[in-house]
This record gives sequence, structure tokens and C-alpha cells, in this order.
Amino acid sequence: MNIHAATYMKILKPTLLALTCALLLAFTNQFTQVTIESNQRHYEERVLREMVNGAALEKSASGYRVYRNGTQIGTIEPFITTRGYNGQIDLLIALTSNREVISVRVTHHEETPGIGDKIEQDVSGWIHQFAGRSAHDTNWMLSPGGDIDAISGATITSRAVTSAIAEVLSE
Amino acid sequence: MTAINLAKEGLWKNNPALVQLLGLCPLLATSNSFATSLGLGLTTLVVLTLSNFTISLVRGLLDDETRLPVQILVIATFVTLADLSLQYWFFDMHQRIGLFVALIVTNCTLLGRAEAFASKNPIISSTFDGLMMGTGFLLVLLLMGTIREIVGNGTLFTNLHLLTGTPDMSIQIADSGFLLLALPPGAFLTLGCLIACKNVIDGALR
Repeated sequence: MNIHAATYMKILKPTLLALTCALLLAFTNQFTQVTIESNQRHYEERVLREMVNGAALEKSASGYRVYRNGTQIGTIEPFITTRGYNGQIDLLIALTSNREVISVRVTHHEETPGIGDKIEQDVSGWIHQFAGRSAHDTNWMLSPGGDIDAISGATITSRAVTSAIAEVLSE
Repeated sequence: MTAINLAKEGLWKNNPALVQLLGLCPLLATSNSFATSLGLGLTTLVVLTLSNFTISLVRGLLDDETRLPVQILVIATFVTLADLSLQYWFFDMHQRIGLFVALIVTNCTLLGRAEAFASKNPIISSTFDGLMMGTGFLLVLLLMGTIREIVGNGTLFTNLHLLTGTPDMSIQIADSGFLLLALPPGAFLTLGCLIACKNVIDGALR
């Protein structure tokens, strides 16, 4: 009986500590969630403004329409892929009216630090290689089979971003 | 151990970055500018102090079998709290160092101090030990960030305004830098030089 009681205590104490930690985390998450989401939105809006470089933006059903001097010059389409190496990757893809890529930005990802994070434009210029490409003039596979250079060590991340852009272009 | 001894251990004699060589992954990855160094160094300092405090607080409740899992649990909880706090107050800084904040869990300095010190010592000295070890780590990180940013990029304090909320205070020191120091190998070279300097000073003192 004593041995049992001691064993139960051994299990009970860490369990209670774990519950305390879980409650603390749940409470903090609840408290910070709204602000964090609005911070993320502000960040995305800033990235959008950088992408269009002064042109006017108007929200549409699927994303944004971009206007310069009153005429529509293209669209920006948000896209979320779940085919990354670790969690989802949020992309913003700017296209001209004839569906040619103007620029692409990653606004959220959880890829490997130091390897997969090269998809961010602040970390490397990798994401710039998509500019000027369209569905027809490019083989949307990673090289050597296709036209897109992969990030070495981050093939899955590179493929996720590449196929996400190809998918948006083929819509 | 007295407070002075604890301070000496953390800041110099047993410095986590220069002597124990713990926490190298975040140290090497985020030391390419002063601002990212400050961001990650401060986060590590806060998490280390809080986890040492908490682990010392609950040390009486734990047995040999459950001690390590609970220590990891406590560290992971504080790291997650720090991650949420950064996203709450310093979202732009989180965009730069966020990926590495999660890696603080794997910073061996934290588990090392929890196991070697906090689980055996009273609350006040454990908290102070965390504070000193964290400060020692922060200072080395800042020194590396400063050297690598000045020599590698020719700038200083780039992006620091993301942390302080003041206007941009970056300084352009040179037109360009010695790029090698800004790249990952530069982190190893800088750390190696710092360790060598410390050994020279220690030798001279002896």
C-alpha cells in the first residue's frame, strides 16, 4: 500500500506542475491572441505596400487589385501552402494583368532557421527568381528537372513555395 | 556561495558562452547584428532567470525520476511565454529572431543551470545565478554582434529601433564590410578570437 501511495505521489506532483504550466500558457495565449493577430495584419499590410511600390490597393474577393493612375495593373493574391517542411507557409503573390509574376513575399513560415528561412527576402534573394515568370514560359519544377533553383538543404521548402506559385498561376 | 562569487562565475570564470561553450546555436545564429543579439540575449536572460527561480521553487517536490522532464517542461513554458510576449510587444523584432526564440529550449545553458545549480540551491541564489549566467551570455552575444556588424557590414545599431520604439538609430561606419564576418563562418571565427582573448587575459592575471 505504501509503495503504491509513494508511486502515485511521484506521478501526481509532475502532473500538477504540468497542469499549472498548461493553464498559464492557455491564459497568456488567450490574452495576447487579438493583439498578435492585429500585429500580423499590420505587418502584412506593410509588406503589401512595399510590393506595390506606391500604387493603389483595393481589396477584392480573393486578394487585392492594384491600380496605377486609375487603371488596374495587376493583382496580389494571398496563398497558404501546407506542404512546407514544418507547418504552413503564407505567401503574397503579385501578378500583372496577363498573369506574370511581379514579386513574391513570405509573410509567415516555420521552416528551419538558417536553412529553410532563405525564402524570406530579408535573409536571401532566393524569392526574387520568380519575378517575370508566367505559367507558360517556365517549367515549374526544381532544377535540374525544371527552371527553378532550389535552396540547398531545403528542397521541401523550395518545392512548397514553387508549387504554390505555380498553382496560383494556373488558376 | 556568495553573491560576488556567483557574479564572477557567470560573468567571467564560468561564462556560459566562453567557457562552458553552451548555447552555441543561438549564439552563432543571431550574433550578426547588435539589435538581434540584444533581442535574443535579453530573451535568454529573462527565461534563464525565471526558469532557475521556478525550478528552485519546486525542487523539494521532485524525485530523481521526474526531475529532468519537469525542468524541460518549465523551460519550455517560459520560452513559449517569451515567444508570445515578443509577438505581443515587439512583432517586427520577432520577425527577425522569432525562429531562434523557440530554440532557446535547446540552449544547454538553461538545462545546465537548472540541473547543476537551481535543483540544489535555495531560491534567491538560484535566481541570482540565472541572472548572472544570463548576463554573461548576453554580454558575449552583444560583443559578437557589435564586432560582426561593424566589421562585416560597416554599420551599427541597424534595426535597433524595432526594439526600442524610437526613430531609426543605425550608424553607417564604412561603405561596405568584410562580408566573411557577417556570414555563418564569421561567427565561429569571432567566437574563437574572443575565447583566445579571454585565455590570454586569464594567463596574464595568473
